[in-house]
Amino acid sequence: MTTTENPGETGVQYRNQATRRVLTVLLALAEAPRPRGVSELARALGMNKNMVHRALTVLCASGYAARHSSGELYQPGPRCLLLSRSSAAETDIIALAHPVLERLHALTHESVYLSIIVGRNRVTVDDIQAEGARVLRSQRGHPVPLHCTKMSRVLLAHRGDSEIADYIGAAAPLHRTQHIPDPLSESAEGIWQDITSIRKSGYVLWRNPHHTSAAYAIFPVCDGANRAHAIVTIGGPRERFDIPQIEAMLPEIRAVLEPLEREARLTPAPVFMVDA
Amino acid sequence: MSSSAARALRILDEIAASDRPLGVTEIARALSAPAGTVFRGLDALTRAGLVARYRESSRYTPGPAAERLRRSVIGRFRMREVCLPYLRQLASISGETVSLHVRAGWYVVRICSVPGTGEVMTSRPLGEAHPLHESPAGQAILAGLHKTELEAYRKWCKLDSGVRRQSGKGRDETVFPVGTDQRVIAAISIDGPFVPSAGQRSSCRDVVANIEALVLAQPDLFAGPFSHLSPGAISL
Repeated sequence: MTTTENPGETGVQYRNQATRRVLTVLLALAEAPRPRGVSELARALGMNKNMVHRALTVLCASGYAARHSSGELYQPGPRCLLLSRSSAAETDIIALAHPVLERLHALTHESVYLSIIVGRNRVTVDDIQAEGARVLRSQRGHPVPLHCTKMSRVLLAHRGDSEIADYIGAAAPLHRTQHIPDPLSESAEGIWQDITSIRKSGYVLWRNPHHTSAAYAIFPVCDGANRAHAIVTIGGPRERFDIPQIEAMLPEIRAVLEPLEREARLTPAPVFMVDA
Repeated sequence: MSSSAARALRILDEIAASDRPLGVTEIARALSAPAGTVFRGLDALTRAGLVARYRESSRYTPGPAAERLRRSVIGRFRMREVCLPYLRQLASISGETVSLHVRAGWYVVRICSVPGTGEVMTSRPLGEAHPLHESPAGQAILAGLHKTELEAYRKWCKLDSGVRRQSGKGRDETVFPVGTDQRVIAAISIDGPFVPSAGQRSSCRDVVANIEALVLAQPDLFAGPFSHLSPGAISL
C-alpha cells in the first residue's frame, strides 16, 4: 500500500462538485419506487433544473439511468443491475422459519409444517417429520385450495376482505377436495364465518371432529399489515397431542415463534394472485 | 460536468465488474487514466456510498448505496413478486435453488432466486447478466424470439452462425421457458444437479403453467422496466 493509493477520509480536499451532483441524482432515482421528473428532482435536491437535466444526460449515456416508458420521467438504468455481486438475498421465509420449526419440534416432539400461499392454494414448503409409529405425515409441495381445511383458511383469513372475495369468486363453485367432510368449505357463508372466527383469536387450535386421530395448532406469520407470509402448524395424534396438552404448552410455543413473527413484520408478504 | 462524472461512473463499472477488490493503480491502468483522476473519482464514489474500502485496505468494492441501487432496479420488475410463491413451490418440489430470469435488451438477467431446501445450496448473484445465447435460461428466451428479432440479435453479437432457434420448451429439463404461444418473456432455472422424476417434472410444469395463466390474464404485471427501450441501447 502506498499513500498515493489511499484517498483517505479526511486528507483530500473535495474538489468535484459536478461529479457529486451526478451521483446525488443517481441515488435520488433509487429512493422512490416510482419514476421521477426533472422538476421534482430539482426541488427535492435543491438544484436547478438545468443541473438535474445535465446529470440525467450523463447518467442515461452511461446506462445508470433510463427514461421511463412514460417518456417524461426517469428511473435507475439497467447498468445498476451489475452493481453488486452479493448472492441471492430474497426475504426467504423458509430460511427464516426453519430454525423455529426445529425448536418447535424439539419442544413438542410432533410434526411441524411451514405452508405458504401459491396461487389459489396452500402449499407446504418445509416440514420436520416426527418420528414414531403414529405421527402426522405431510405432503410437501401438494396444493390444497385455500378454502379447504382449517390450515388453508388460516392463510386466507390473513388477507384483505376484497382479496378473499376475489378468491371466493375465482374458486367458485366451491368444492372440498379432501376425503374428509368439511362443510365450511362448501359455501361462501361458511368460509366467511370461519374467517371471522379465525381473525378473533389470531391463531387456531383445532381437532377435526371427523378425523378422530389428530389435533393441530396453526399460527400465522404475518407482515406489518397483518397479511400472512406463511403459517406454522404443529400436529400430532390426539392420544398425546390434544387441545389440553397444546394449551398447556402454548406460552412456550408462542415464545419460540416470537422472533420469527417479529422478523416477518419487517417485510411485506408476497402479492396474492387469484387468476392462476 | 460530463467528463469527470462519466469517468467516476466508469470507475464504478470497473469495480462492479471485478470479482475482487481493486486498487487505484489497477483502475488507472484499466481506464488509461492518471492515478490522481481515479483518486478523485473514488473519493466522490466513496462519499456517495457507491464504493467502499475493502476491510480498511486501499482497495475498493461496491458500497452499500450500490446494493440499494441494484435492489431498486430489481424491485421494478413486478413479475418478481408475482412469481415468488411459485418459485418457492418449485424449490420445495426440487429441493434446489430456483431462479427467475428475464430479458433486458439482448441480455438475460437473474432477478429472483429462492434457495432450495436441500443440504447443499446453490447461490448465484441477483443481477447476473449474460448475452442471451450464453446461458441456458437465455437460450430458452432466445428460442422464443421472432425471426426478425433473432436476426437482429445475431447482428448485435456479431454471430453469423451458432445462434439458432432451439426446440424451446423442455430443451433443457432444468430450464422452463415462461410465456405465451406468441412470446417467451422469462425463464425459470433449477440451479443444481436436479434430475427430476417423471412426477417432479410434471409437478414443475404444472407450476410453470400456473404462471403462464397469469401472464395471459395480467400481461401488464410482466412488463419489465426496460421493455420499452431499444435492445441495442442496453449495454451490460
